[in-house]
Amino acid sequence: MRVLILTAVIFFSQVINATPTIEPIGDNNDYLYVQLNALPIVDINLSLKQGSISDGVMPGLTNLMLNSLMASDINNKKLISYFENVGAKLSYSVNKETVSISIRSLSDIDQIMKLLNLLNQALFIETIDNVNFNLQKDKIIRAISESKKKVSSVLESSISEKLFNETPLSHQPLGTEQSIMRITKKDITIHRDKIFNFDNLEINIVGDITLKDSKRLIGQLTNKFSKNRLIPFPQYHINAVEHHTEFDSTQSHLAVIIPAISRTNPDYHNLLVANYIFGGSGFGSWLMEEIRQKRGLSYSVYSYLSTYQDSGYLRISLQTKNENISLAKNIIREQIDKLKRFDVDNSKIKSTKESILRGFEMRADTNRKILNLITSINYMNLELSYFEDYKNLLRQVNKESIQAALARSVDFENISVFTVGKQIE
Amino acid sequence: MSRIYQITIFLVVLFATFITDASIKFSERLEEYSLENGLKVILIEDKRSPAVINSIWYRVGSSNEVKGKTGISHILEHMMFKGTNKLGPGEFSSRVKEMGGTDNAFTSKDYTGYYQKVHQEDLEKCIELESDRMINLKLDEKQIEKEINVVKEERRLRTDDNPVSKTFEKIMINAFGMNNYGIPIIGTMEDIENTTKKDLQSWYDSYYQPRNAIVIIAGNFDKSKAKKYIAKYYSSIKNDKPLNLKKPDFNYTSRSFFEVQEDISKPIVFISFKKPKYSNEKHRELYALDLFIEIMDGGYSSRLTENLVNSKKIALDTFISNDTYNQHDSLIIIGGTPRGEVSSDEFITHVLDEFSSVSIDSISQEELDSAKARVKSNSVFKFDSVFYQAMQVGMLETKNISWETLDRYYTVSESITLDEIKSVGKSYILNNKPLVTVLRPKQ
Repeated sequence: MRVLILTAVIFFSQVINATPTIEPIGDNNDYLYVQLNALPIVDINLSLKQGSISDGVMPGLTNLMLNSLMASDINNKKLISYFENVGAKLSYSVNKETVSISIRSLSDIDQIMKLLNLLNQALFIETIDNVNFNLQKDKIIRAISESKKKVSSVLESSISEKLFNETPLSHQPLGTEQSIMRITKKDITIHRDKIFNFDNLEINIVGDITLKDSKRLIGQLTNKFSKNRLIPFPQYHINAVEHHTEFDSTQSHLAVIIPAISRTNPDYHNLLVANYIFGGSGFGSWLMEEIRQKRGLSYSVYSYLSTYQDSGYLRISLQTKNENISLAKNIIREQIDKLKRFDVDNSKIKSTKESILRGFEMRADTNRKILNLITSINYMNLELSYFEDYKNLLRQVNKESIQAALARSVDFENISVFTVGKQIE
Repeated sequence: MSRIYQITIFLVVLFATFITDASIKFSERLEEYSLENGLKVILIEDKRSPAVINSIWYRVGSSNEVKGKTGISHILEHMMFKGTNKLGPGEFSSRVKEMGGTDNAFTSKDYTGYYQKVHQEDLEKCIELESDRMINLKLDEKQIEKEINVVKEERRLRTDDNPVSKTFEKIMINAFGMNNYGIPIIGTMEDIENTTKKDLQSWYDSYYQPRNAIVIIAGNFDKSKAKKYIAKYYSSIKNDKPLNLKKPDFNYTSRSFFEVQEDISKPIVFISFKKPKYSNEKHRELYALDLFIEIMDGGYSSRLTENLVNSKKIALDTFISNDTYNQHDSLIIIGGTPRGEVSSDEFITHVLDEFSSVSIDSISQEELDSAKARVKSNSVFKFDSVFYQAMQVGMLETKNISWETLDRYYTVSESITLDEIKSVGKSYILNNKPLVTVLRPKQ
């Protein structure tokens, strides 16, 4: 490590006018790289474009698979202990659309290569240990039971079940107790061999590492991946649902969902500006003004565009004491009507665009955030001209284009409303 | 489309000179000084992006409060966004938003902090805005009434509907009564409801004064200009009122065991040990304690996970919480979730066994080296976020602990021996009386 550090001293003592570049690694558009030498840190993200949507008839399969593989013993030691013993970090997660594994290490390439070799062994382990497998099942079953006791998790489950009924998006990544109990070790290895393939794979690397070493590192990480075909992303149509779940809590949680667009839809930047004014920018946004500032109804109220590769929606969320939920819902409805009309001064739109553009310049201010950005760019299949495109497209937005986009790309006739809490007579 | 693209965010790299032994030091890029009115200023340069964090920290938090007036620091934090003699309610945040920036605030046991993240060109505007609310806060009855409702919603969200948070609150009250760290930061619902304009005005007058504040600017900025702005906007502010630093302690008795019943799926056990406040003289011992805790439960390969979760299979998970730099007596809390049919009593016995003399004496050099490796890498990773750099410095300085402490942490930790680790393990845990709490599923 000392040699590494001395090298770094020489490097950091220079004043560098750096304009970092996103580069594909080895001409492969699925592997992206940004060199940042200011800190001796390397961040690596491996993503599979298959999350719990690939669970099939076994809800929770992908999550149990990842947790079981990552808890593997390699040479009688847990995988994680190899990372922790050298101060490196290993984290992983499964959501509906992706499996994600992230590594953060000091920039010692030999050390990173060793760790990736061990990770590779764990991911493609032949036999999953029984003790480990049962522990992972117990942990997940407990997490599922706990999620039923938490108002915010109950809300998420009810949205998934009702909104994405009969699609692979209808269950939570944790799965169900019954399903977890049924899953066998063989199911895990079969699923692993199916989804750990090059078609699903994206790798993003940021930090104090050369392109050449990044290429070596990818070779180390992927040498057991298969050439299977990608499982297609499910198509779905959001139907309007109004659903309440009774729950013994002091607050009711509300989610309003309006079908909208994918990230690559040409209307995206128009809706981005509209949402910023509506509820996407905290204080000063319509929702915050009406719900919190004027009436003190909620600590947190916001809206965001949730965009997938093929679809998306506008979501509004808040929590308020049970007695106030009807009032809050009515105010949200009024604000949605206002959004639909979008009778906003051009000067407001101009200042909003300036604010977003200014904020955009400051967005990538840490290695971690740059990694997250390129991971999103990679996942959404955005052009590497993303940064310039974003600004250019945003500059073109005006009142008329927003109104047209709202009319065209937001399905105001199909609004779903979900509440969880105690109904007060 | 070319697959090579220039990110248009100009990341001008003029970062720390890198010091040996993997430790990047604040001292290479930090400057501190005070204005004549006592306002402390700390400037931390990190020019990796065009952003700068402008923050101000007041040495007041829930530990300054008293029974009957709990949560007042936090409500005042909310009210600081509700206007001044120059700005209307919400206008502070709107101005920051117009700059493309973000702003927020936080209240803790020992401090209340405010920050804006903006483009370097907007630093002066933020300093002006922040200095304005140090002296010109306007407390309006109607705004207070609405904001108290917001804070009540925050309490419902964070505590009342969250069994684990609610239990932590009870554990701290049981350990210290409604004194110092026993006081919940958000306050009791009753105290929140009863907070008046007079209370808030008095709290503001007492604590929001230059000599009780620290300005921390971190990121990409011109140092000489920053100094000029700080002098321009803060130097004329006077310390008008005496600082209200003394308060009586209420009597209390800690129960050695109590149960809480909530709507949860499995029991959670908390075993707490009282820990005296941080003192500089004891810093080596306290860093050794950090390493001891790291060995016991600092990672997923640490002792408690390895022994209780993986080997004995009696736990689903384990945790330890500890604050190195506590300004008042605090708690080290060790706990976890029993697995399967394992009872809470059995679980407690197994956890305490891990802190027996035999167990502590068996800690190996390999385990210590592993813990030190994590301290070493964290001493670098913590510099990734400019905001977190300001946070680290602010969290110490508000407790009157110098930021220099951060620079020595890694070096001192590196030199700590196995004997020191064993010694602190015994004195802080083994020879200390546990306070046990069991959070059980509601019958």
